[in-house]
Amino acid sequence: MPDRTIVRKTLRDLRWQVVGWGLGLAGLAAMLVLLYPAIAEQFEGVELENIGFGEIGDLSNPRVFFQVEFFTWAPVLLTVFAIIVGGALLAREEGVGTLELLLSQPLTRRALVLGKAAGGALAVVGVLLLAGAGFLLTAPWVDLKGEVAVGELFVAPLSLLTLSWFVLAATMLTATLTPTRGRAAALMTAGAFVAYACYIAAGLVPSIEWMQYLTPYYYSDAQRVLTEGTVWWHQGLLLAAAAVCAALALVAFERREIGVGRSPLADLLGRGGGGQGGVEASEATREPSSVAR
Amino acid sequence: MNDTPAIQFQGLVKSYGDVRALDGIDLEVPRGEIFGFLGPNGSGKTTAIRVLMDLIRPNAGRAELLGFDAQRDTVEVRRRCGYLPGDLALYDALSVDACLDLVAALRGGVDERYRDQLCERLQLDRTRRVGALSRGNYQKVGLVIALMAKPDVLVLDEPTNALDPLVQEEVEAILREAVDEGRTVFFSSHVLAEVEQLARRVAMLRSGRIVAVNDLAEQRRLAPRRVTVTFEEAPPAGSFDRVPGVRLVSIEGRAAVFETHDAMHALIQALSEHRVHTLETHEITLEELFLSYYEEPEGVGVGGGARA
Repeated sequence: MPDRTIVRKTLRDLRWQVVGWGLGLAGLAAMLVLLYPAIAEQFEGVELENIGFGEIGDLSNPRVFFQVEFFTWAPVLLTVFAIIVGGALLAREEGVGTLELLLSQPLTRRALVLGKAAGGALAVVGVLLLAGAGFLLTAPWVDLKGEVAVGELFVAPLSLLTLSWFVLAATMLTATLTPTRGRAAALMTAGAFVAYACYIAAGLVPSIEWMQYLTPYYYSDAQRVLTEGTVWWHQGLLLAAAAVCAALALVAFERREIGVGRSPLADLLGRGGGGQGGVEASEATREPSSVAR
Repeated sequence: MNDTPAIQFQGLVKSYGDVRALDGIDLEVPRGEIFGFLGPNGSGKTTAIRVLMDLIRPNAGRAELLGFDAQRDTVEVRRRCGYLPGDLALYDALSVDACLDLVAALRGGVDERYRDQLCERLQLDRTRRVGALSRGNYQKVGLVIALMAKPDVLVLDEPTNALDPLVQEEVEAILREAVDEGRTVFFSSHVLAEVEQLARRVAMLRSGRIVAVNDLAEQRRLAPRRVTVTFEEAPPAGSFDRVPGVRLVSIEGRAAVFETHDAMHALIQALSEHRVHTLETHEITLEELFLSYYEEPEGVGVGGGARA
């Protein structure tokens, strides 16, 4: 079971990030809603070609407009948020040395990881609810031609929950398998960039269409939530992938030596190198804020 | 269970690649005393303590606290132990109070009155943000965290680091009170005076090995006396080579230094054959004793300490 104190502490640590990212997405949603009437007038009866995000269709339809404009950017922004948060949960604590304070209390590593993961997962929910609130607060003031209900717009961002959880869990896993948070963030950012580029390219070039099925973005339903609805097995698949990553992160963290700056894979692969031990190593991997005192 | 040592290391080995940080440590720390863990930087003190806290894993051997295995019974070990890391890191954004509350919530069972007393005795301003504290006040927060739950065993890595002498005295008093209540204090240090002041017994580490475990009172009793003599004229070479029970530590010009346990009479007889200008005698200090362990080849040192 996750430790409740850790969940609360994690949410407290992330509160300003949640507010910042949530308000940012809410601002994007609100801006799009307020822009919609002008766009609808401009694009009335215009059918757009596929420019990489699937068949676009009539942008004067609010479903199509919000689908294209909001859900093209939101998965990218949430990926960045999840990578930042996933890296902060354990790896940052290890980097600044506070993980040692937590792990010297009567707390299992499992309860710590689950508490951190639960806090991170709830932070993502907070961001998405704030994003939905951007629709909720502005949509009643705009003529949506009766095409989409305000409530539907409010919950639509939640379709990105499983994608965000997957990225969060994958970042936690990467962070427990790599020596430092910096390397984990670099790996995850590169991976996400490649996955998104493949997803976009696969939408443009029919011969490589199969590639999109290899990326998590295809299963996030970001390109279809308002126009075709949620595909529940896609969401289930991402949720399962997130659970697998979280479980592997737990196993890796159980094996990890704290503050040594070396991957638990080094032991499995029989590579003894890496950290130089004890305080010396922990200082070598420690982020500057804690050693500058 | 009461006979089990407070802390026990059995054949503890820890390597980082080619670097052997711990090379088969065996040590028993009895309950109810202040035990010093002494060694120069890099000798393995922190590594052994981090194994005990299950922050790192040994390549061989085991560490136990009150009979609980450090790796298998991690939660039990941590429940019974208050730990102050040598390289303490706290949540800089929290106030001192919020930081203490967080740890109290994680531990459970913290006596708030005792916590308040500790803060008062260490003159800790609880309203300040941790990140704004000086190094000494930061260390005080770490000490309160380790002490406030009144754990059975205190494991303190360099506890008086950065503290001013007055606060150091208060910390020493708090630790003595803890021992008076039947608890155990295991602390590491590279400051000899601090160990001498606090500990009843001390284990000395060198290059990942325990080179000696000493009872300090016994050590003082067995310690040789050092005699420093200035002659009016430099004595001929070899004058003091065959004085039974006396070791010539150094001779340079008119000055000579001797050591002896119980052969003072023989030394005075030998000295009487020369014109002595001054003569001083003193007990060998612990500092001189301990330095001998680190300056001489492994396993060789002065005094009567038990070799581990």
